[in-house]
Amino acid sequence: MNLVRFMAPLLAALTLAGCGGAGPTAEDGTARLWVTRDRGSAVLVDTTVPAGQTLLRALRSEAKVSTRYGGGFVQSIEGVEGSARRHEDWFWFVNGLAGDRSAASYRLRDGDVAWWDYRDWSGDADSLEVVAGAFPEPFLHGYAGTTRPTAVRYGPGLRSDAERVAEALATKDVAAVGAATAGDLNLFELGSGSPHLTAALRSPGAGPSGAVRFSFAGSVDALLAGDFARRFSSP
Amino acid sequence: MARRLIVLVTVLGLALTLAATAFGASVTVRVEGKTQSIFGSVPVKVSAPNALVALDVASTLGEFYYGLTRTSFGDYVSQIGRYPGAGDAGWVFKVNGVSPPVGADQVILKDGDEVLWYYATFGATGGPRTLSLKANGGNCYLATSSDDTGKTAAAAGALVKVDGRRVKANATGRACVGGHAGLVRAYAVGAVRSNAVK
Repeated sequence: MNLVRFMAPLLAALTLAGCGGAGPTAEDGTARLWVTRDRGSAVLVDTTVPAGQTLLRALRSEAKVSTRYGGGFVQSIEGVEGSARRHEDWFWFVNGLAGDRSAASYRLRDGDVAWWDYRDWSGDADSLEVVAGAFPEPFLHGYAGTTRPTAVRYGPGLRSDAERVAEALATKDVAAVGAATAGDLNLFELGSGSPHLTAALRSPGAGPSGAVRFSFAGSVDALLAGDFARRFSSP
Repeated sequence: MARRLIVLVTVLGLALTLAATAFGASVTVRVEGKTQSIFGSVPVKVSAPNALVALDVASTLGEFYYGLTRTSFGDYVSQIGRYPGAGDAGWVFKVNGVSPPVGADQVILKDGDEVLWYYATFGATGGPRTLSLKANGGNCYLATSSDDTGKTAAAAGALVKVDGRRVKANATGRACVGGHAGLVRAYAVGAVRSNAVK
């Protein structure tokens, strides 16, 4: 891990960072706020916050936060401190997509799932672009207010399961594997085999506005009941 | 010295494993389509390391089309012959009567394995049963059917057809068809037709 390379986007983001803007109003709706540690394994905060405010301001309203680099980079939450030396820091996701800017310049939209997680990033600081645990996000609310159409594709015998997933993802594009699927669609693939739920960008490196590919095998009941909430992937 | 020996043995073992994979096992292949057999109604012997290569070899020998789709689950066979998988139907496979829980390219075959690819229409209770037929003395044949787990039962009531006539199998799946010239096969509603026997 090259520290300079890691810090560069953060520093760049700082110059763009605002101060939080005007306060939210009721018309802005609400967002979900999660604060967790170690890839979602310990939950510190799970609450609803007003949308229409920045991600940083929403966090400050629910937890004790300290920042660095002019206020745009979150150094600690509830006393848990990031450390470049230990390769541990706070990272944020909106709707499961890793943020591409300072939390002070992401404005929460109605329905967003805002997720702060403290983790050892030594293995995946660059490569972790989307996590599965905000399902059914990012299919419903996308990133920064922009959503993509969704295609659900299923292996033999999984049609009824696929239709249930498609309903939860608010799409009518459900077809057997092999049906034409445009490259810019969000894709949910349902197969048989060992149970898992994983998420990736369809084009690695595309950033949080890129199309995602979810891969799932297992109980659709469990998936729709939220059994995978706040897990980066499963198993 | 001992350590060097362990390394050598490991390398040798790996080389043998790879060699076995590359050369493949001697297996039989049969491909049953939506309305008729596509390849090897009398199963054909091929050499293949896994179930996907077995299909590929069969498609070369039989000059039939098959289509793959790359998914997060690996390569899926999305079409064989005229019909792509769609709706409640799709292309699936069995090895020795059992549906493996992994992709076809991950099923390592061994000598004597029987690979069956078939067009399956799924219902509320899962995939179709697959029929199997073997000679059972005189002009008699025994039909069995397997579910996805490979659990086999007598195909009681199956229709055993030859030379344009049909005989219903009894409670044990046995049917005697009398003297005949053509190939004998078993059929049942909602099941995949059997292999053909002389």
